[in-house]
Amino acid sequence: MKKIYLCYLGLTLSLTLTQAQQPSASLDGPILTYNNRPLGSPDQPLLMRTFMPNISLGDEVLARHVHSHNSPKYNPKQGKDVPGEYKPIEGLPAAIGVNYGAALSYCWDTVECRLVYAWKGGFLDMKSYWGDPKRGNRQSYGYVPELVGTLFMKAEGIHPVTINGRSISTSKKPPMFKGYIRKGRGYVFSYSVDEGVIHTSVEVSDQDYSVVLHYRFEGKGKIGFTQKGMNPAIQRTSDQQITVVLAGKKLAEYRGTVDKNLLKGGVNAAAGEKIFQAMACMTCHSVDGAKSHGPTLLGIEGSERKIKGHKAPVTADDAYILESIQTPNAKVVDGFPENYMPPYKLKEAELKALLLYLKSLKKD
Amino acid sequence: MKMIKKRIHSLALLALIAGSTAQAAVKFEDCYRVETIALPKGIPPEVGAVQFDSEGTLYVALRRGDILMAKPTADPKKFDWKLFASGFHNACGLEVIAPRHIVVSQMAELTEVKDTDGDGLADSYQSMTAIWGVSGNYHETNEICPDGKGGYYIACGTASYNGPTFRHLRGDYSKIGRRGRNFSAVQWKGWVMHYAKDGTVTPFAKGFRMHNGITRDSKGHIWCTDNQGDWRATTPLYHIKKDGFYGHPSSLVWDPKWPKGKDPLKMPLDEINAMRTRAAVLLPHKEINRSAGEPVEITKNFGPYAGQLLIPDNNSPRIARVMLDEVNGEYQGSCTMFVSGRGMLSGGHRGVFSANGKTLYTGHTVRGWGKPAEGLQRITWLGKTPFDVKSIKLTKSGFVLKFTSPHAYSDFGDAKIKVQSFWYEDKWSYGGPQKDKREEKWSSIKRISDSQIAITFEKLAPGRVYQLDISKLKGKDGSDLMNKTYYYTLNQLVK
Repeated sequence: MKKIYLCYLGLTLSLTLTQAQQPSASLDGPILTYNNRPLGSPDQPLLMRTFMPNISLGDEVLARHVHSHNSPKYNPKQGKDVPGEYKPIEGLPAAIGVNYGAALSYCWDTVECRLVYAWKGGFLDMKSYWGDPKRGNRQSYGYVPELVGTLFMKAEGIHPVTINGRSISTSKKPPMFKGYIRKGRGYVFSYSVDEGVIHTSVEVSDQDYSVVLHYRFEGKGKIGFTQKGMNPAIQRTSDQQITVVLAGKKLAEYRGTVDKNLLKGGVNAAAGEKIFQAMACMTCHSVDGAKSHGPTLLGIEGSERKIKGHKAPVTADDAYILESIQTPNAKVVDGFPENYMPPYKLKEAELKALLLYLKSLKKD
Repeated sequence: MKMIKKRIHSLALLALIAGSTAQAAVKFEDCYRVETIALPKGIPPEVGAVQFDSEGTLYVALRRGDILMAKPTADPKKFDWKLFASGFHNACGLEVIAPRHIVVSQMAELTEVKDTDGDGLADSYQSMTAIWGVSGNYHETNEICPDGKGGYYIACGTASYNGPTFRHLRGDYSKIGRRGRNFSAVQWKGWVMHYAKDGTVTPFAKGFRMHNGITRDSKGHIWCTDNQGDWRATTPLYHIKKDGFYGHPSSLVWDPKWPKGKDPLKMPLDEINAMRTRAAVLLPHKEINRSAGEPVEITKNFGPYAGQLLIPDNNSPRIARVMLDEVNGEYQGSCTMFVSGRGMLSGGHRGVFSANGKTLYTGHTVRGWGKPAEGLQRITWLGKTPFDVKSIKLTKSGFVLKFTSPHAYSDFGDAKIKVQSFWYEDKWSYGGPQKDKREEKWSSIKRISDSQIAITFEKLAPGRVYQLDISKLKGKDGSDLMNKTYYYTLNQLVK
């Protein structure tokens, strides 16, 4: 009897977590609980304003954001700067995350006034922000949640919305976020541009790995849409109204906060691969030689790296690879942006496993 | 055998005396009841803000993002909570415009929230202003209070070096403002901004560290508490005036008149001291308040303290009480404890009175320090008057202490009141000691009336905090004095 009960418990663990979000019958809608993985549903999407992950969005996408820089370490006891620097981390300061359960998650940025990425199969792991699920106390330096699920759309290039054929990125005034309304099973975001106000919503598509965007323009001119690197299907209702289906493809898998069980099978390359996936390294580093934001990691071991500011190439030995994970900006490979990759703090065993995996990525 | 009998006899007598005193003597629990209110099970009760609407519905903003509402019930465990709105990023300021129509200050925005279709759930979230920057640092918390004319004052807290900034920020970045312990890397951190009814936003006052409490009192004065830390030797209460500078230098970089490239952290201390407005009241860190939440003005139906300010402690289970004293047209004054322990939660953050003024609702949350302390409580006045110091008024030569009810003594011996003084030095270091603490010899203590006494000194020293320890005074009814220690911040003498 006991045994059966335990099995039952194991099988229904995910169900129990979902139920934990509905603690009281009188509370309609998804309620945030101690569960660090909050979820909405297709009928009742969950909107959260929180710090959001920046999945290496390009400068054109984050055009209205301002860059911060390294800053000298400060000692309040002495009242002065001391050796060392504080380094900025990656994150979106004023974005909105919306989740429709397993069907769709998207990140809409209020500074850029656009959809910046979409994923499915999960939403956010809030542990870095909310802390220990039982106590809610702080556990991390930064407060950026982790993505959970499959990324399938990532914005590129200037703003996709055009008025009279010109991207609103070229507007005199930056697009200004005005707010949103909850309508039906979704949210309508509004922002002002030179010529008027644009209302937009993002919805679940019946095709896999795609989203539906609705745009309504309140102003003078004809609204249009063009997204770099994608083939949007545009359906026009009027000069002021369009519907866009954006079909993406599987870009990356995210697993949320790295859990301790990854090393259960021992410190080996297989565990390292799990860590590689959990940390979403593939957002920027391919393992098959493909171009990306960061250098490919195929054949990294023993390779000669051309480093910015170094005359002679540097050999990628264990020390080099470990340094590149922990203090990635110490040596930046020529042709790649500086201060792009955040430093990763991993436990020694995790580092060891990750190193074994990276060394296993050999060219044939 | 005889001995034992005698002992029993005297014990009985003692009990009789004690019993008769107890009947008349007023204790805290005769005057106030502290209750913890249950929020729905499974929901982290990290209360960022609390407010009532005109129908008596209580709105509770939770820091993860939801706003709940309920009509208070007599049983603190039986509130019928409903979700009103959701999706806020660290909502720590809330004001009500009308039932189901509120204003919320969150990380990135001041937001007008409304239920437009009448289903009880908010559906419209409009940005009122997002004039401040967002650096990505967890510490940048915003709070609001009404301006009395349909607008708001917004207190924008600084960032902490215990957290990072993001590489991509919202708003302009200042390399100089980024320096220091608590810093102002982006606009209007460490400022009070004014949002006028017509939507225009202007900088109002500067020099704050973490003014996690802003209140407009019934006379129209604006008060900010701040947190002990860098440039704050102890917990201060500031009277806010337009264009004032309140001592934390990082925010200065955003002053349009600030010389370009000038580093406020490199200014000599004398220069900062000459610029700054001092705290109206200093609340000793260990003794009275470690980290202040929102000040709340006491109503007429909450005992004998109407018009005074209550200041919750974010890092101890207690609420301080501030007695303001207008001297030469400026406010200074004294502080003591209102309640400490007695079932109170730590994490004191926000407070609001019920419409009848009899019950104070307090919101509690703290995440950063040790064990989280969070929840919702209420304190209700039960109708009895505690024996306490009601006010401390500065005179030319000393202080007049007014009591809430008649005191028992007609003459005060040496041991009854001990006076000491000390001062605080606000500078770069985190917190500071009570400096140069010394005993102040009083020259006379006189009974003025049943409820007042005067204490005089040969000389009073401005710039010091006077600590009055009243160890043995009792009320006429035998009550113990509710507080033994009082601190008067003597910024200036009576002219």
